Amino acid sequence: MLVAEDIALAFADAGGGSFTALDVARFAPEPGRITAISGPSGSGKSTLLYVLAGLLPPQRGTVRDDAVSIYQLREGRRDAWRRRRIGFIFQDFHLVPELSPLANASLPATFARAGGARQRAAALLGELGVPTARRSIELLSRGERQRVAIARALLFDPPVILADEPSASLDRAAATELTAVLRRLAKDGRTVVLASHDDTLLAAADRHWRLDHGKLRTAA
Amino acid sequence: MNPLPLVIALARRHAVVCTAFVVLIALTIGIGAAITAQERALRSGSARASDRFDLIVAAPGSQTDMLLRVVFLQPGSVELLAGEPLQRAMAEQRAAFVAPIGFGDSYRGDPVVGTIAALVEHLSGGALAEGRMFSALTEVVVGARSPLAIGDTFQATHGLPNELAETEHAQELVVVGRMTETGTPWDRAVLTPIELTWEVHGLGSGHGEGAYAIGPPFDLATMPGVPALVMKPESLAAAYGLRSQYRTTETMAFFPAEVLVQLYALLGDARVVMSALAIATAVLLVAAILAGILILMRLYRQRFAVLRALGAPRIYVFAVAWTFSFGLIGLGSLLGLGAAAALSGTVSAILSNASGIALSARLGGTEILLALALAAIGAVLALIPAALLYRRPVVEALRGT
Ligand SMILES: Nc1ncnc2c1ncn2[C@@H]1O[C@H](COP(=O)(O)OP(=O)(O)O)[C@@H](O)[C@H]1O
Ligand SMILES: [Mg+2]
Repeated sequence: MLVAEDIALAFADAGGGSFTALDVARFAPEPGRITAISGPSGSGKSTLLYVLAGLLPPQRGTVRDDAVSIYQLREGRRDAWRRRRIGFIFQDFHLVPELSPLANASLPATFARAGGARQRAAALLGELGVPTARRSIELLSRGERQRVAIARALLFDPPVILADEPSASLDRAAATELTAVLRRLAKDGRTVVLASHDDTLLAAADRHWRLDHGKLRTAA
Repeated sequence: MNPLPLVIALARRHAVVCTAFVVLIALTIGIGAAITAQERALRSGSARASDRFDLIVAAPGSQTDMLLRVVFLQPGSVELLAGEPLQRAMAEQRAAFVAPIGFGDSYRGDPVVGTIAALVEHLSGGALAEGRMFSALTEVVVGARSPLAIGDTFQATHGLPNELAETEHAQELVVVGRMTETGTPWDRAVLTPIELTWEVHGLGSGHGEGAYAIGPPFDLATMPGVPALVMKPESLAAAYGLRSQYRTTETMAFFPAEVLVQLYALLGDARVVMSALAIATAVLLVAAILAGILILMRLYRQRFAVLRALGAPRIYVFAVAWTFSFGLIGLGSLLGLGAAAALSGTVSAILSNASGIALSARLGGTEILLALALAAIGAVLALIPAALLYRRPVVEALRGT
């Protein structure tokens, strides 16, 4: 289980001082649940996800995955940990446009030893209903592209999914489909953390937190 | 870890720019390597060309000038070797033959050279390729690449090619034989008995008043002066003996090879400078191209950050950037060798035609080394964009700032 405790993170501001981007006493998203974080732009949602993913060390506090304190790992170990344990999904998908949907979904296999990655990527794309026959991802709809990105995140079967505004560049119908996919991932026992201010997605969440100036509160 | 899919994706994205980079590098290497190969071919070609002119004896003067006249048949004026020194040299016992050489005429821009059968045979490698040796005053043997064919008749022109006042001689000459290839300007020449040269210039027959013959022995007392003699010493020891014997105040004697060696030594520094310039140009080009690659990489900061968010280790990002940069440089260097091979052949053909010296530039160690050196420098320089990406903080790039 992923637990963040006593997190404090400040950025330098333009005036030479610093402002607190994150001040979180405890955040422990549960497996099998969708945990949503909403909040206005600039409230620290992305920052929290980066901290949880081991990409941004906080100035204070710990992030633990079961017994492992991830910021105590050497960088290479932390990369390997992230590869196995975290699946990251972005607002803008961040696919490689020159590669096919299948090559995109199996991209993580190019930096980690993984047998049968292509077959697994193909199976995931099939489950997610992405037409793999298309040669270029540029021929896919935005909803399909996001599902390619989800397949890529699931390639190494990580128990934690972090999604940063995953529906922000999707239309209503695609957002609804995405909600169903996320639900399914949670039902499989995964921990799904969602940063969003999209009501469609927020309505599907099991837990709902609000971030405000870096502070977490339970949402009404 | 396999950076290739992403490297190929990047290259495909910028196919035009990448192709331009590779072509530029290939051309730079190609031209540099072709020039050094050519220079080497010129040296070995000229050395081979002078091989069969064992020892040249002439009136004192510039050895280089004389070498250009005799071996490379370049026009120009020379002192004649005449009188007692000529008689002494012509009577030399330690030479298999002593061949007088006479210049002055041409046929359609190709030199007409008067000499004796022994030298023609010797230059032709012991036997003619076709036909027979000249045995009368108006019979000639032509070089392997002469446009004249056996049986052709023609009139020689007085004056060397490029000289203004050309007048035709009355004698009609007939081609009776063709030499084998010598790899020298002699391949385009028309070879006549030396007696013809003397006759048409009103210098006598070389065999005494009213006596006519072709070839030695000559009547030394009345023999006209000649620009040069080619001696074939009977042995190596004799060669050195003869050379020192004819190095007097009245004659000079030299092996063509020794003069060429002096010339090469002069060119030696130029060669080093040339290679250095070729490398410097290539390195400057690679540096410019790396600047371009750096700009490309800046465009892809976010892509690389995404890889890190997906769990890629830093070294993977490093590997993608390095492989991409080095791939362009390495491919360019490799293709450069191919370009050099193609260019060398063409340039050799052009130079051979212009100089008459058989040149065959082949890529050698120097050229391969040039390409390898550039590839190695490229491998090191490619570390720069890779290292810059390697050090970039992930989160900032991920946010796209
Ligand atoms: N590297 C940084 N330096 C300074 N300020 C930053 C940096 N990264 C993010 N911020 C600031 O931190 C705050 C939180 O950002 P973010 O987590 O991206 O918000 P959200 O995802 O909720 O929109 C914002 O005010 C943002 O401008
Ligand atoms: Mg954000």
